[in-house]
Amino acid sequence: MKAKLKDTANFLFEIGCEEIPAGMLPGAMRELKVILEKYLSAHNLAQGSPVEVYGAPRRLAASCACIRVRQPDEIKDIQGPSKSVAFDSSGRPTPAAEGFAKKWNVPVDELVTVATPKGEYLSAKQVILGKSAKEILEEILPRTVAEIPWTRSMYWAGAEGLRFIRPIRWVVALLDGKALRFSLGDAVAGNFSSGHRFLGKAKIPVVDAKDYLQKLRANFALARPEDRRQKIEGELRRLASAKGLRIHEDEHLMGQVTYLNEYPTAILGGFDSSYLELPEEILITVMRDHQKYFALERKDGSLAPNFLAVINLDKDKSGLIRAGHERVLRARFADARFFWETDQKCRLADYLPKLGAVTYQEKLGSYGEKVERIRESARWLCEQWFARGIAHASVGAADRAAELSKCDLVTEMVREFTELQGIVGGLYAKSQGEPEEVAWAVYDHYKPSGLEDSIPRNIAGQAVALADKFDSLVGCFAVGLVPSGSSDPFALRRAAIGIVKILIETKLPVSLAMVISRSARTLAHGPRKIAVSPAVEKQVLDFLLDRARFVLRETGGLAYDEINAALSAGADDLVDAVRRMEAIRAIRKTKNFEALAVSFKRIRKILEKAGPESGWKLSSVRSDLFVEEAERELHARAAAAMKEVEQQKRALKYREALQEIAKLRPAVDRFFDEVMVNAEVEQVRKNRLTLLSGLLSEFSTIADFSEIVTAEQAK
Amino acid sequence: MHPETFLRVLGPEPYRVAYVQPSRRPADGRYGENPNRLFKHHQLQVILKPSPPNIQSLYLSSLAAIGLDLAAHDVRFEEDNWESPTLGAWGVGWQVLLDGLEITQFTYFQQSGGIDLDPIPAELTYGLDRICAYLQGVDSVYDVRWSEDRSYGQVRLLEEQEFSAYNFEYADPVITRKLFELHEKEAGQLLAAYEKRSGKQDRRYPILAAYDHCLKCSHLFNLLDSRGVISTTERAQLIGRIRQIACRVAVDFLAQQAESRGAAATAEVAR
Repeated sequence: MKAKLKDTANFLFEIGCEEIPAGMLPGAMRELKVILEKYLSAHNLAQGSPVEVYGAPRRLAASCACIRVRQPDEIKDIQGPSKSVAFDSSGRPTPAAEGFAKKWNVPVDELVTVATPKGEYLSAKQVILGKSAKEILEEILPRTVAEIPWTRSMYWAGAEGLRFIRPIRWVVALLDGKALRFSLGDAVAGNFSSGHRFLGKAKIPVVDAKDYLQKLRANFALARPEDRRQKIEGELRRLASAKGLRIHEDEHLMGQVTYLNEYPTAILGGFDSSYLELPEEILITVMRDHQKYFALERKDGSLAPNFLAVINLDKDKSGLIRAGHERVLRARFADARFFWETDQKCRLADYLPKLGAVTYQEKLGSYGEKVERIRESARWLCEQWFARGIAHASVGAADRAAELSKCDLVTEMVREFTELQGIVGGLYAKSQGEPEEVAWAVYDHYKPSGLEDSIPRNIAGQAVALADKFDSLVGCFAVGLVPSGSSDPFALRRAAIGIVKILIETKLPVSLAMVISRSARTLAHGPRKIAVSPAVEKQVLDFLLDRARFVLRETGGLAYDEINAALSAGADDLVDAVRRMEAIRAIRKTKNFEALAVSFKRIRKILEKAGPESGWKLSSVRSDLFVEEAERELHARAAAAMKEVEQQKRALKYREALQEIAKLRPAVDRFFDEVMVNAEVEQVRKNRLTLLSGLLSEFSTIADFSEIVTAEQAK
Repeated sequence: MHPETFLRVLGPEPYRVAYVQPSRRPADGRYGENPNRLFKHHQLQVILKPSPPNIQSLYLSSLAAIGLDLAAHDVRFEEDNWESPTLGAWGVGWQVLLDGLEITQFTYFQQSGGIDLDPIPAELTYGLDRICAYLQGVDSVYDVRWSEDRSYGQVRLLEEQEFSAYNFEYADPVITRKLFELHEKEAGQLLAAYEKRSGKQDRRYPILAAYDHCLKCSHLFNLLDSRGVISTTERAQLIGRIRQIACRVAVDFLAQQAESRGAAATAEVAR
């Protein structure tokens, strides 16, 4: 009996590579999946089963449990000559029609006419036979490989050869266990994979994804990142708890070691406890950045003289590896101690003159100049706060912290560990007897590094952080360095997010426009006389507000229309704006609010239609021009509400104020029911428009109601 | 960067070379106090042009050949792209770590002197001092047994101490800058004269000498850097100046090579 041909097949693809950089593997896996799925569905081979991807340093692989073995046939209409050419006046086919029929192998009487925008044409139906999956895969797999994007790819076989992240040395490409025929450079596709470089076999025949994963595991290569991660996490926990210690958690490092090894195994090492005299921040950074070790903590949170390393082997059979890692770490710590001692041969402040030689930005000058600007703004901020009754805002502490803030940039320690900027300065300041407040302010002033990070812990640090970030924003915008797309070399987005986070979390009163123009003045009065136009100040403000919208949406639990409504009613003081947003959020579900928002939108539209104010606005609403009772009522109620609203606003009772405004709803509704704004009498019309515009402007100082997306709109 | 590397990787001819080279990095000096970081360390430099497909296993067998049991050690290839901005040279590759210690830089060169390379050479630079310490099982390179009666420290420690002091404390910035300018000038003059040549070829024209002066500039720049006397802007400028010479050397070297190949071919035909 003849076996029925199968309709579907499984598919396995592996690019065998020299070690792929760990940081790029996760992205490459995602891309491989996207590109393959795109091609499989574009070629009509996909059968709804997803592409699975795998990745380890020496391999990038994908499989699909079920794809079509052949594309379905396709019926296509082939357009022929126009009807007028194909048939003569008596309706008989001309040689043109016969030729067309012959060419496509269709009897003349089976030709059909189709209407097109250009007239009627002859058409022949053709069945396009689907290609086999084998044929298509052999064509799309090399293209897939070429399409995986890398930040820095390379040639290895000369300028005519392939480009990839690292040299490709073998390829597995199987359809139902049978090898496809194509090559990637010198590597010919086949059914042989390769195991762990030292522990596994170099040539391993595989048939499908399941077989592949199993055989690789047996050959000490875990192709699935989640398997490696699980192994690492289990072993780290076991080793740590056997010592009564806990791991200093580090998600980033965990990601790195997961992708750095094909067969990860954790080992425990130790170091001389005399190194614990060095600050923990430095020890942890040395272990993490240079050696990719996990630090270990005691129960009380202090650092233990141990570490966990993840090696790419099944075991440390002779203890040599542990000894080796310990030796390397000793040398690294010796280096850190060398920096710690060398840097502190002079005081932190003694590095100030050197900052004059370190460029912050060509047009904005050196860090020395930046420090002077930060000092000025930080002092000013503290003065403002102190004047507003914030007694612990110390001008002196902020000024000293600002002065010392950038000194560590020229220390050996920060040259070696740039990510410790600020922290090192703070540690040196502390060990040299600067007041605690100053030391922490220096330590923290780069904070927050993002949405997740915490803000500086004291007010001096908050002042310095704000001053530094405002200076970066205003300065860079002034010299045309506006972030665009992914290019943001001075991390201005992060600076703006930092400003917003600090202001919202501390609730410190700050007028954004004032700080911006203060920073602008400092730049203009500085040695470089950098002019900042009002347009640039506005640009900075808009940029900041844009980031504020983002932060509030991500962390404040606010809807974007609530944010917009509050910001467009006034955005100079973010803390105040947030209070108003919360008030809007609290009352938006109450009965009159949405309806009123609808009316306000209507008012805005009417006013926009009426054209420029100069064409209709009266100096004030004139009661003698009222015709309808409804307009008189609205005017009276609005005037009464206004008084209430003003009082509550002054008391920062925004919610109550908004409720007061919402009470206007019946009067507004009645107005629109009974009054035609566009009255025939010119003066009456103008009076009505003036009434509405007054209503809109007076009651939009807490929230711009017309920004609220109402239930009706949302549909 | 030794001319055997910088220049020989240029052009189409296959080339293979291995040599030991002292490598001086003023900023890496530690007054002889760090067990494996030195102002001057020694590298075994290997160039394989073109890079053979089994280069990684060749490299690993070289480690096995000097006595490393690869299954008993954690040997790994971690991304580390090498770049010399002063010489317009860069490549893609790894640092090879032996139980967490960097013992080799492994690079597929992509450019040298600003010129795209074809074929692609592989460069292996073995850190000899560290590898020796490892093989001898000592903690510090200074404890490496140098001969029957001497340690490496007895041979080299004083030099490390003196040069660390010189590089960090004594080198006179004004004089160093002057020296930089003199070498730059000499290299520039040599190259300019070669570039203006008309018709007449001189196969002995000293492009190599121009490169020698270029290397001196590069070292003096590193020295100024370790003295901490150059600002970031000046830094970029100085790098640009050296790079310019290096790139001209590369172009002129290739032209000279092509000319002598042409001359050889003509001589062959004449015979």
